[in-house]
Amino acid sequence: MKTALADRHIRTNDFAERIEGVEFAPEVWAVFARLHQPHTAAELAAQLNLDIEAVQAALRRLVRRKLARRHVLGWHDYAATTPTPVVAAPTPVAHARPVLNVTIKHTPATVVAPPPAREPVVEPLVATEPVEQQSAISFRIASGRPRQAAPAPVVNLRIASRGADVPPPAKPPAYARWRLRPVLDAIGAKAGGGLAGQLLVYRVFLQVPTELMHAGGLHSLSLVDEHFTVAHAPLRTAIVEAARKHADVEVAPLLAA
Amino acid sequence: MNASAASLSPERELAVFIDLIARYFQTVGGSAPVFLVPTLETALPPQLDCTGYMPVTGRLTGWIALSMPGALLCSLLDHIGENQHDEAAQLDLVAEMAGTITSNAREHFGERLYVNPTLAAAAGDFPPELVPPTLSFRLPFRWSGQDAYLLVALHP
Repeated sequence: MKTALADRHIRTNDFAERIEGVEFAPEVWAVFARLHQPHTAAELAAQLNLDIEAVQAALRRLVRRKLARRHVLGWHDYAATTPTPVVAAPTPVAHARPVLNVTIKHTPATVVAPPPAREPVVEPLVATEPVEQQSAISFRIASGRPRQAAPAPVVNLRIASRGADVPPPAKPPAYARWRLRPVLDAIGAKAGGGLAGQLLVYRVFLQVPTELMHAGGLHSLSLVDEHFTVAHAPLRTAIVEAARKHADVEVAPLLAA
Repeated sequence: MNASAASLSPERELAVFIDLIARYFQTVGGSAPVFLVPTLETALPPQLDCTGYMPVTGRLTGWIALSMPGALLCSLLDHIGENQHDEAAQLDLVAEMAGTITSNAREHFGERLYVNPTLAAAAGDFPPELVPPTLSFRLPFRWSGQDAYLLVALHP
């Protein structure tokens, strides 16, 4: 099976089981932070203002640690989540192919030195634009939980061809607009920004049940992450309530902006 | 107690605590650490070679930890003229650092924030007296070319 997504990467579903103890340069984590949705190395390089070679090296490291994988899926998975178009369907394969075939080398954990001369704290790594709107392919990641924990499919993939007989691209899902960054900024501003602001963010998130954070794929959150979106509705609700109660921040106007 | 501390919000109190840690490095090590991008962690990050734990109670309850690699501690030991660099010396230094920082914190906060006796532990020896956090604030920093981190672990 050939797929147009062969050069995209995404987080593995069970990355949280392996992420503890792993240390990378901040740039590698910046790449990882964006892999809640599939991205090509070129997209990531543009977003992060990094050389594509650096992004590819970061992806290799993440794949070696099984924190990320190529974003491919078998026909059955695709067909199970997408209405079949009115065209001759390809012959189904007997078994779903493995999503990823990687030779894992065990190497000692290394701490890759971040680049020199970083300013003290809290400057965003880069300021970039969201990429959702420029893609012909839209993704809905419903949950990081295993299937048995959530009846909805883990990944709902819609591929819209550029052909004339295909309906226009669907409106972006609501969670695509639920970016966490404005919420973090608003909470931080309540404490005057800087380190105190980040600590207020921490205190607010302390009130969010950990199981909801896990369910929403929020295991390690960089406080300068520009693109993290919250897809898990109960997690959104908990963040909204905690922000209102503990930081006097109303989230709804931030998302409407 | 510092009069200005009376009006500080809890997060500003924590920020003061972190300032005290920076001041320790500046005073003892000759240069302040460079703080990097913080993260929120739902799992307890792995401890580096030696970690000093500073339990706090009061308006904030939990602990603050300073986790450092052996190489950083050896650099600090060099700065203060210590020739012995083994793990015992490193743990002693971590305990001394935590003690100095908490002493300054007590002076700053008075009765508003109780800083309990500190603990020092090698990697893999999490003190049984402490409760692992459900969510922690990890603030990496670099000093003398070595990466370390500060961890704020409060109870909800």
